[in-house]
Amino acid sequence: MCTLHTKIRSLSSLLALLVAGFTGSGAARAAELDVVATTQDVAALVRAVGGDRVSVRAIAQGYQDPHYVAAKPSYMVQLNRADLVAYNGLQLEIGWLPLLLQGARNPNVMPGTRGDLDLSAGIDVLEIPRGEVSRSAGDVHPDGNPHYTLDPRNGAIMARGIAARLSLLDPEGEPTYSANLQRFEAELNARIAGWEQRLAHVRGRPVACYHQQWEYLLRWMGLRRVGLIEEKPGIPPAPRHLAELVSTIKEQEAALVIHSDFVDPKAAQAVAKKAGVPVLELPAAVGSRDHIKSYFDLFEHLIGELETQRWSAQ
Amino acid sequence: MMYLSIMLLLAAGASSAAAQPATATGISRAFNPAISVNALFLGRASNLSGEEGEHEEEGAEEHEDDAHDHGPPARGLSLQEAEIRMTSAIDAYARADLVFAFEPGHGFDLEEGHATLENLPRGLRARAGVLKPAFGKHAPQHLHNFLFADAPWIIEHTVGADIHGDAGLELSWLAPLPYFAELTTQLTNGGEGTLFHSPNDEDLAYLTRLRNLWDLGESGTLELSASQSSGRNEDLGWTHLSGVDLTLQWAPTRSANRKKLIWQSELIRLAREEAPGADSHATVGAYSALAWKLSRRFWLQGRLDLMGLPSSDDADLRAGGALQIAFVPSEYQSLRLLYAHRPAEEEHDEHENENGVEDSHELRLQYSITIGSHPAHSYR
Repeated sequence: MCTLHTKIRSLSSLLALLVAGFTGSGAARAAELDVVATTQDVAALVRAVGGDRVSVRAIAQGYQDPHYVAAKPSYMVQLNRADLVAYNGLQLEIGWLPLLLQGARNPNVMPGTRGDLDLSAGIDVLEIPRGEVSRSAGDVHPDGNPHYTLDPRNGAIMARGIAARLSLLDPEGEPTYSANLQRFEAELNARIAGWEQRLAHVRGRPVACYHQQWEYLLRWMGLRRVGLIEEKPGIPPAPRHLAELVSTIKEQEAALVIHSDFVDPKAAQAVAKKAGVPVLELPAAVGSRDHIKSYFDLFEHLIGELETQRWSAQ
Repeated sequence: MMYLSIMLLLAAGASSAAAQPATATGISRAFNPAISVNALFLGRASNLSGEEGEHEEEGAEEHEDDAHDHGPPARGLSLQEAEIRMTSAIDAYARADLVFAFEPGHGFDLEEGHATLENLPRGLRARAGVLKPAFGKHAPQHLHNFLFADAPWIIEHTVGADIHGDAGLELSWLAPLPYFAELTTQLTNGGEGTLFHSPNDEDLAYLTRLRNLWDLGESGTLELSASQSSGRNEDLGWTHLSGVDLTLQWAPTRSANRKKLIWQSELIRLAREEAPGADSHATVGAYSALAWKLSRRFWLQGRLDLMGLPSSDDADLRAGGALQIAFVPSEYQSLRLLYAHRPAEEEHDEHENENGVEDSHELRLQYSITIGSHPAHSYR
């Protein structure tokens, strides 16, 4: 028969095992830094720069609308143990990251600390609203368009920011981070040159998009946006607006209607059908397809999709 | 506690004054708190008239001076509540959240207002100020964030439908476990307390909550939590509130803003001593609610209310319920149409329907708006 003392000892051992197993105490840590990234794009860049010295987990999936992420308490648990939280910024995560940070109770990653990394620093931000900002304009981002990861040149800026911060938090790893950054930038620059060559024939072509998500990609590729399915960001479109957009697409001879894989495609499909142009669903982030595992994979897929479209000569 | 709130505001103002003199008055607005306003307008129609239909503001202990007895009228149109929220960092160590509520017949009151110490080590977080009781799923919510346009029956009879906070302290701990496990304890004023109403000003109320939440894949979560609160009542006996809640949520990752399912249930037991050391009178009830987001803008919801469950001293098992359809064009406004049914109350309960003979059928149309910088709501 078990005594109470024995039972308490068994329970204590079990609890100690659980705690030790989770915190990793008693075992060598595989990585020096525990990083939580808000998106898969950010996670991919941290992985590229940090290599084996970092352990990275992403909150939003690549096929998920990053504006609408549930602030699940399990993410608080991840942030509670993090050395660094790296995020997109420009209020992309405004609806959920502050809640997660408050719930995480980790002083090391609170805003303004060394463990808080806003990767929008240094980005040439597009579409910063002028004048008074109000919700009558829809889900507008007061700091400008946050979808800057879709310009590969911004990947280099982000990678530099990541390398600097990782080196600050883990000075011993600075040579590794610096070497990884150099390798990443060299490969990125080489690939950008190749991608630009492959897309030279589409420069100046008009397209329509669903959300103001593709501005950075369009600017880099030299595509011209003639209209949006969303009349106001985040607000479902009215039929009158869609009818006007069909006319605009026809008048401007737009070649495509582009939407991401996490929006309801019905409106884009209806507009494209009426305008007589193809509709193209594109991945908007790393992880949005099984084979898109890195930042390079994302652009290889995007370029591959776009270069094979039938672009009308203008 | 109002003094603490005022001091918090003054402290924020002092910080502001020391900063950029950018305005015509020379006083900077740079550190002003984020301010938002929620307003709820309610239309009600009921087969019961006057106070017979006002069954929603009861709580664990009735108090003759409790302004919560004056809820919205059982019929007609009214402002249900207007709430002003201010949120700001106090300094490098703490954050302040203040929520003032105006309710017809109740006036302007501090519903919740506390300073939060966010930089404590080892997963700890401390709060001081006016705290809403962290009891169960419903009680900590503000009116505009209720799952339905009314409160579950057992909530009205035990915790109170839209309960305001009490002055006190809170300490919570995020346990170092592989899943979310949070232990919260509150020590609040039991003398003027919203929950217990002891005549002794020095009496305290005690609350403990253990919240556990697990991910079910990337789209679902399961929460199983328990709460316990105790305090001396008006008759100086002890009142004990115990509860268990279970919530299952599912929102497909690829279309989380278009589809969602919430199944939330609470079982609550209230045991009240009529005098110190006397036998307790127990009330046991539960609700189980299902909320289904049909599309980006529409929700369909249903709720089953049960009272007089086994181990309750109430006579029979009684069941009520509610059906609701909600139109939510954005996060900042909603229109909800609710039908609620309650069976006739027990005749022995003098605080409730005095007729004690007629079932209640009620329609509610609630319109809610939010303006300003309102913080995102925590995971339900």
